[in-house]
Amino acid sequence: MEVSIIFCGLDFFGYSNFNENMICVNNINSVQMASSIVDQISIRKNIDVIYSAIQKTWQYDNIALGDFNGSLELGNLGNKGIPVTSLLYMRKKTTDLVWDAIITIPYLNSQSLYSFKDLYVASNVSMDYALIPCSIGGIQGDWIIATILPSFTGTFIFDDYSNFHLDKDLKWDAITTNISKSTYLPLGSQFPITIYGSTKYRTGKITNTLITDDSMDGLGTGISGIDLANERLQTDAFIDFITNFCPKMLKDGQGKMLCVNTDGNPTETPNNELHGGISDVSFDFTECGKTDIKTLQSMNLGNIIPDDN
Amino acid sequence: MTVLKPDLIMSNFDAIKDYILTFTLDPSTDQCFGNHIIIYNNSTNAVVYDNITTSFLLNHDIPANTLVNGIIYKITIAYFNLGGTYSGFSDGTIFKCLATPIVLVSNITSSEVIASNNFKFIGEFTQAQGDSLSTYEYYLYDGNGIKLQSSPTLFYSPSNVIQYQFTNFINNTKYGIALHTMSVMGIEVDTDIVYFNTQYIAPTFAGTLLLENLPDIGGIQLTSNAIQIIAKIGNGTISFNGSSIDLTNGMIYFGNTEGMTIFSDFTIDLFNSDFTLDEPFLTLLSPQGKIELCWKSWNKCINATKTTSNGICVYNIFGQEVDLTTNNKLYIFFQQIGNYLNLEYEILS
Repeated sequence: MEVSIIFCGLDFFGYSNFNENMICVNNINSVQMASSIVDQISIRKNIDVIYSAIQKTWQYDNIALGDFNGSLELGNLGNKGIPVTSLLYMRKKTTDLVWDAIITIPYLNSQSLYSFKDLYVASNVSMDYALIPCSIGGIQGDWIIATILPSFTGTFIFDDYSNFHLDKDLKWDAITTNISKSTYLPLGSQFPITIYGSTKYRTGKITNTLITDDSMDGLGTGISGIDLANERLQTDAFIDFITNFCPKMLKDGQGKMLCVNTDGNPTETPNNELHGGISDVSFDFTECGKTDIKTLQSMNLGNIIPDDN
Repeated sequence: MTVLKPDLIMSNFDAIKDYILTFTLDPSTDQCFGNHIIIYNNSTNAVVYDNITTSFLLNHDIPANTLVNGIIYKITIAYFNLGGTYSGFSDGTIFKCLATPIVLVSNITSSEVIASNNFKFIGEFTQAQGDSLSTYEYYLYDGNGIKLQSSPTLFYSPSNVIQYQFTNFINNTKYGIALHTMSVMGIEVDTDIVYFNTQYIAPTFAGTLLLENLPDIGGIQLTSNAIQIIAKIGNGTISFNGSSIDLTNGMIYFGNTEGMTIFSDFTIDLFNSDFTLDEPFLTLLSPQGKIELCWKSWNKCINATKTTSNGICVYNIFGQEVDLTTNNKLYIFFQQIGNYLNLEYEILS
């Protein structure tokens, strides 16, 4: 390869057209190309880029990359000029075989960053996620697959709109697996006959101290720095949440994940040593369904909401 | 002379089809010259079939429609040697006649065109006497009937669908799909191969899917950067030549209406040839002005020029003299860093 010249304009002041009032041309909203034959153009945000006369591949900071292999496309989404209409996200446990669609986000020309949070994952259960661009008619394109091992501590109780992290003086009582059975005592037989039903669900009880971060940091005005107003608000919000008669998710850092109803009568036990500034809250739960996305969505759970990008 | 009881090898079968019953003999026994089977209705103990056949073979044909599906039977067999000496009858073996299950891949028809690179096949299984599906496998074939892939052996439960998703079908390709089932009563069925075609223009994606743990909320953050830019023809005519685009008689443009904005700093790598001299080959437009790259004949260099929206040229840099009259191919490295531009280029051999 013959190298004919190198020139760096940053330090160039020799040409008379130079003007001290030179401007930074920001917000470039149109790029025109003409008067040549173009093999490739790459436009990147990053300026810490090494000079290299090798054709480029798409990088994380690329704004556009055009190879012009028979099309006028310059993005990381290609479809022979046919618009991409949506981005389909699917997931499965790594050990499972079948993927479940979790969200389809419409593709917008005005948006390049797409993100959302998936709370419906159990800790320590490896998950595969796939991103599939789709075009008109739902034609699915390349599957981009990534794997992660979710990891968190404490217990969370949540639905699509609220999420409470229970990690202060948390106590799970015994979890009972309830099954249904009938026992018959036939005359003339030494042993009974037991018939089992298909009912199988778990019940239990959780107790947790509710305390805000500000109170933990002693930033409030109450005894021991408790933020009394916020404690009241948080406790009321939590009681309202677990008495809203809707299914919700309960999971912990060990890997348990249950779809539950919070039944029984929740109790709030003010801490008298702290003049009632904080409270323990107890509630019972009853498992009410499976935790796959389809089942959850049938119970108005498991609906992923895109981030506001 | 030794004639010991034979051992039956028996399975449930469909009574409307011929069935070849087989048995084994202890190696120390005399050669088989024939056998005698008796089949009883297991509920009534009535003999429903009693037949003697003369054959060296260790089998016995039960003709179609001799028995009735849905009935449980007991069978016993004896054999005899050259001298006509019978063995004792074997211990009774219980079996049930069952109609062949009806199995099909239900969500695809022959020669159907699948407009996707993946498909979730759904099957159906029915059996007249109520036998249930135990396990199943899907087989994917190429257009010549050669098996390409098998699903794992999947265990069926009544709450599940008989389904499996094959992915990554090649476009414009003929495939075949078949379903193999095993019932609880041990009857195996293979469907015929259903051939189908794929035909689609599918999006390609060169981006990544970033996953991140969010321990504070117990969730996963999914982030991806996806952008589709389809340039438009501004004027003139353009043509594609292999992996390049000929813009010597035309102009293309793209920008925020196609999903792209360059907010400030940038790096552009450009591989060009066949320049029209003294004509800008790259123009970046913003409300504040524009930046142009152009080979100027007066200095025989690539020039980068900033011009305000009022048309006043406020900044110009250029590199070393380069001869573009011979249609040399150039690599151009071009940056905006704050108010400054950085321009480097070289002729590619």
